[in-house]
Amino acid sequence: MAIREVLKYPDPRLKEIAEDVVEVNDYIKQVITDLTDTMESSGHSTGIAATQIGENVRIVVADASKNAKCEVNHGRLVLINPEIIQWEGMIQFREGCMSVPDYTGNVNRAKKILLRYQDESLEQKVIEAEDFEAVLLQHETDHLEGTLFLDRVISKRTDLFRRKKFK
Amino acid sequence: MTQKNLFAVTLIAADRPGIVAAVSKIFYENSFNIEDSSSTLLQGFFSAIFIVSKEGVTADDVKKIFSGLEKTMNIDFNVQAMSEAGVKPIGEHFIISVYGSDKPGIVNRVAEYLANREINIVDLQTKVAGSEKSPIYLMVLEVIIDPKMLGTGWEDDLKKISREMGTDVNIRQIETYEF
Ligand SMILES: [Zn+2]
Repeated sequence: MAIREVLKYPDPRLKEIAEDVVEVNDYIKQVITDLTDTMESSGHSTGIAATQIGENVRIVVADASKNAKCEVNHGRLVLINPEIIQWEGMIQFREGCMSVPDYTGNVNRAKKILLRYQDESLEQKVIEAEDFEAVLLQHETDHLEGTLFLDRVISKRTDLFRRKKFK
Repeated sequence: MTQKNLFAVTLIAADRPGIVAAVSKIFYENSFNIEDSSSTLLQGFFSAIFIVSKEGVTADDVKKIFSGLEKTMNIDFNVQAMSEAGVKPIGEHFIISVYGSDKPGIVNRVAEYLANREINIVDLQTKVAGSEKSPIYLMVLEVIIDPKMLGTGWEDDLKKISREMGTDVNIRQIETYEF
């Protein structure tokens, strides 16, 4: 068991694009264990991407059930090579990130997603996630692309008073 | 942590390109740190508040630094020393939108109620939309509700006030999650 340090921006590793996992070897198993331990050790964390512990591989561990308000979810997920293949609707959350301390910002996300991934035996799976879990999975898969929620923050004011100019 | 030497620098100027560039250049060249800031366009006027810090200077010194810009760009600056940083309220965040035909006193009625209940307003924006003939008044507030205030009926009170004024109100909680 190893609880790893969560990288904080401006660590350049957070902006790297993670590489596909092609086989589940000892290294990949260790990354999965470390991600799980690191997520569990931080009481409120519902997800973590390998990028956040400095491992440049496409793995996310997430558990939406750790949020008591999230009623519909898939429990703990180990996602290898996750890829969102469908987006639907829009939902706004105020997001924060373990890698960006002391800042939260409003972000628009898809309300419903279809996510394709491989499980720990590299078997292909597709799940549908909604609301909190959908936002969580979008946030975490973004990390694998080197994208932070800071790249998606919308201005409060323009959002509230979005006004088309017809003159 | 030691107390920072903080100043509020505020300005309002007819909007044109280059205001932020000119102001931030002065902060940068004089080694001020911009700790926090908020700026927006209000009725065509660029309005900005910068909270900046620098050790060993007074509000008068800061004002003097901007005197050149006051002349060349014709912008009025106001500089105020801030004795101490405010306490950050904690609790649940809610967005309240109140809207309706333009009625005097909407902001005041809502603000007074919130003050009486000791509810903190952390953000307030108002706009007049619609046409000149039938303006729509829109107010959006973000408030922080102390946990002990939850479930005490403050939402119903606001709905009642809104009914009395003939406006519509919508209250929704903003959920923040650290992922
Ligand atoms: Zn994150």
